[in-house]
Amino acid sequence: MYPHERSLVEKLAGEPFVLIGVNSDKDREALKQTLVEERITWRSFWNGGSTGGPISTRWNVSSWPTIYVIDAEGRIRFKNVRGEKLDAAIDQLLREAREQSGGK
Amino acid sequence: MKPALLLAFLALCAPAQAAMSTPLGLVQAQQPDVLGELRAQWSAAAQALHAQSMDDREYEAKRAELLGRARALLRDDPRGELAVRTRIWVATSGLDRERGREPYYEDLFTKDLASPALGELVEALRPGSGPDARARLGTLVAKAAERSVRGRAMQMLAEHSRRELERLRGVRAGDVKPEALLGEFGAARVAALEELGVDGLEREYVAALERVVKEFGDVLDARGRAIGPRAEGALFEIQRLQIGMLAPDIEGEDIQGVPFKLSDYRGKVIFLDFWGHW
Repeated sequence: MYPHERSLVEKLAGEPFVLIGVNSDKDREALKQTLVEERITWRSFWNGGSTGGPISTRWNVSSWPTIYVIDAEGRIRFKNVRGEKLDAAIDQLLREAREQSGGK
Repeated sequence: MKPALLLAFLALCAPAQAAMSTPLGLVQAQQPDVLGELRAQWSAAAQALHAQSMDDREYEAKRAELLGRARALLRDDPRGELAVRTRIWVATSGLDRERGREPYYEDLFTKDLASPALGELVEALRPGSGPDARARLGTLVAKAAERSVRGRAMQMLAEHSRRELERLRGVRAGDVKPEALLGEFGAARVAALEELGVDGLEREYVAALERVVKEFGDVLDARGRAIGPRAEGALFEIQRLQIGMLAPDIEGEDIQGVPFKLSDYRGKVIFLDFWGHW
């Protein structure tokens, strides 16, 4: 998963796009090490050190990874899209965002 | 006098010795493992058949052997917990081709209704386990003596509604063929689903979840977690996390401890990824 995420973040640098994680690891210090080793540059919420943490419980996440794609206006537009479908979803929403700002 | 004393001594010792050394005593001490081993052998046989390292005849012989051993467990102590769990296994696995599943279910739903072990039956009746599962869960909700069994059955009914909702939406989107629903849910339920429609089914799902939260919130599931918070999460998902809805804000801190909010990134396309490094 990381290589795909890394390439998305690199490819879309400068676009109105952001990858935000909600991380459910147990050990925060070990995770900090992982961020460096795996070159994970995007920001993540700390879910309290558990898959049963407050954010994943509220969002009813029971399988990992769970993915939401949210448009520039803050609306949930896609859930659990992966691979090419994920790329296409993000491209579509970026296009919409460009059309909107261009139209204004 | 001496032989009589000896006899009396032996008579005193005999019951204790018998209790320690009978096969029955040993079986009772190892009960959970006995059933677990039978189940493991049955799933290994199914895998071997699938991988074609076992042919139909060998598979059938294994089934007959395991059924014989399951019946022996049922005979030992017909109303004990091990027997209830064995009945659940035979009923849900379909191990007994001669008598079928129904006699076992009939027993479970008449004589075993007070058993806490029925929680295992709830797990076996998960979505995808056959068209009869829903009706059987309904029986458990109505009749099981243990509140934990009733609560877990209610929660599993909600899981069924969730699954049906997914499939109905799939049909509507053209991803799922309507005929596929017949095999999964049965003709009677499909007719009921047509009547309910997506909106009606969603109301049914929400009602089931609300009942779990209100009546059974503190009941523990098979993994020992309370079922209330999970039902609340499912309610939140259906009421706030559907496609087209405004994403609820998340407030928290990042891995370094710096506070931030999801809404800080309004105006950008957000790929929100619930992840873990494991």
